[in-house]
Amino acid sequence: MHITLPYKSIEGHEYLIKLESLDKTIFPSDLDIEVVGVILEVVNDLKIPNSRTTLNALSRIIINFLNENDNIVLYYLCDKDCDIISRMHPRREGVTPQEYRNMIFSKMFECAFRNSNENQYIDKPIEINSEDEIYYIHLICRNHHCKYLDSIEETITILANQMK
Amino acid sequence: MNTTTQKPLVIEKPSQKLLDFVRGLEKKKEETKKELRSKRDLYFSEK
Repeated sequence: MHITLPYKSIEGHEYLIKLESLDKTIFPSDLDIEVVGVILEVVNDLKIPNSRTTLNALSRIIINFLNENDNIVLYYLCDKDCDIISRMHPRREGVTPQEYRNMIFSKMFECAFRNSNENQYIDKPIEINSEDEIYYIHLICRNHHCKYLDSIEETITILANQMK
Repeated sequence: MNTTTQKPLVIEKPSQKLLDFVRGLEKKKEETKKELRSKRDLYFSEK
């Protein structure tokens, strides 16, 4: 699965949202679900912060995709680019770009569905603490796909403890 | 609230195998972002 969706915010940010299936060879063969990566990229040079409206719109696009494709679990890897333009600089002291994205990603999904009548969703954060840096990943799926999250979590835990 | 944020799975001192996997995801993401930037004009027209 390779899908690219465009979105232009009211501030003028031009986003391309790429949804791309992950090679599932590391997962058990009975994982009969697609694991799809979400990549958000601003493709123009607008240097102003995103509004909450824009973040809500982006999360709505992602959740619509989840609703339209039954057998998928989404993942988002928070990247470490330093190009975040935030309205909340004072709160970001000592926070790495990937940690900041991790917080924003959780907030995006919490805010977008608060007080709505949508089906239930799960956001499962994963933190991988290596000596050099911390990686943040989010797994997002519908509640009834919870068993797949458990399977992916188990695979990652096994992989984490494997010797080379 | 209809989105449930679960307790994070925290992995300390991951194996090299897991690090290689995550760094592979990171590298792929960088390549995809570069590709998206190069395709901007296919999706957005200039005013």
